[in-house]
Amino acid sequence: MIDCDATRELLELEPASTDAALQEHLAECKSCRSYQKPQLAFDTMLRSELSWQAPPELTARLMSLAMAGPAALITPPPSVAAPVRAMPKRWYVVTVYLLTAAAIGLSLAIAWQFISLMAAHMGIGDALSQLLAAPSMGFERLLEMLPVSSDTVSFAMKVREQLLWLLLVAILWAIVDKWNPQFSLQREHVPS
Amino acid sequence: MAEPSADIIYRAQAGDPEALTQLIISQQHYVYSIAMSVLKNPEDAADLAQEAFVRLFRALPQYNGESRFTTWLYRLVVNLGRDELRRRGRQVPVVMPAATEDAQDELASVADDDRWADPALALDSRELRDDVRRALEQLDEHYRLVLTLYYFDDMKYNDIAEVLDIPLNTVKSHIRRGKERLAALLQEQEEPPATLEVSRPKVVERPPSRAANPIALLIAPFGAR
Repeated sequence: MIDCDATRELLELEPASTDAALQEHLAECKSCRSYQKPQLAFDTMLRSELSWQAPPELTARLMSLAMAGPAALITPPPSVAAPVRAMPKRWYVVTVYLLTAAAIGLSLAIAWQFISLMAAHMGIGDALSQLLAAPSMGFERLLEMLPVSSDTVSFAMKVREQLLWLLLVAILWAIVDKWNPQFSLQREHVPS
Repeated sequence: MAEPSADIIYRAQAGDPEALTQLIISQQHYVYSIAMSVLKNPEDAADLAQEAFVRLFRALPQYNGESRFTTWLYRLVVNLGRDELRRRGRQVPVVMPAATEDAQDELASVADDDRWADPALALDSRELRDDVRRALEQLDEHYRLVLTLYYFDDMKYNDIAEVLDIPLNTVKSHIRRGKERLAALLQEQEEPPATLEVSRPKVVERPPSRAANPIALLIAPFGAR
């Protein structure tokens, strides 16, 4: 059985405790029973005063939240909520492509001139001429072996340089398009 | 403090309005009480309670049942309240210094007050209720908060410790000291400061009267009995 000190310590914390040892002591100790009464009164008062009923206005607000459901409360994640970056207009994209192609073409022309000069200076002009003449020679062999292809071959020989430049531009276009998707014509329209 | 059933929580997690309504009905009183305890203002407390439920609904899918639902919810409310106090520039101490000897002497001087002799009469006394209300308003927020949680039905010390993120023994000492501090505040209301100054020496000299008056024992430090 616990003594008066332990009993009162328990009563200070939990005046209404149903602890068996406490009840046993209280049954036999009038002094501690007297001690319990004000503790109980104090406890009851605090329990009452530390409890606040939610005002009806708050209940109404909360009910409207419940009716709306959690989905209405969920804000989109930042990545979605952030405004979509404005895409450039078509004329801007086309202009950029044309300017880029012009810059590349100019660079290639300069490079070609530079390489030709260097080749002549270093004595590899003949080898380079042979290399460049290789396709023509191939076509001549083809004409000899297959005379009916003369029209096609002669046309190809006429537009050979233009076709090569066109191929080069197409390759560069494809590279630039992949490297900077912002300027892709296909991706200009972002689905909402 | 009714712990919602697993079924209600599960349905609420799925967004069932009826389950959400039941959660609100069963918990709004406790959430609002915590908010009132922290902010002491009905309008601010209502706003805080609403914000707490908004956060609850958003966070419901993340609740995994590791802790009691109510503990999880009350912790959310307490943290929101503390954040609000911090936002207003107030400090929120968690651990309090021990009660001073002076304070304990003041507690002993309440011995003359016999209004606590009968619980029923004490509850019926409008004057006493007003006194307690005023004392509670002056009580430090961490004491008021721990006492508020303590008087929730079915709230165990462990739950309070988890909600407030403090050790179990600190919970018990806060409850004890909170009551002592309240009793001291009630005594200060009874006597104006000048009277207190005069009466303090008398209190020190009358340990025998404590045994005759239970209210003195109510608030006296245990070691002094």
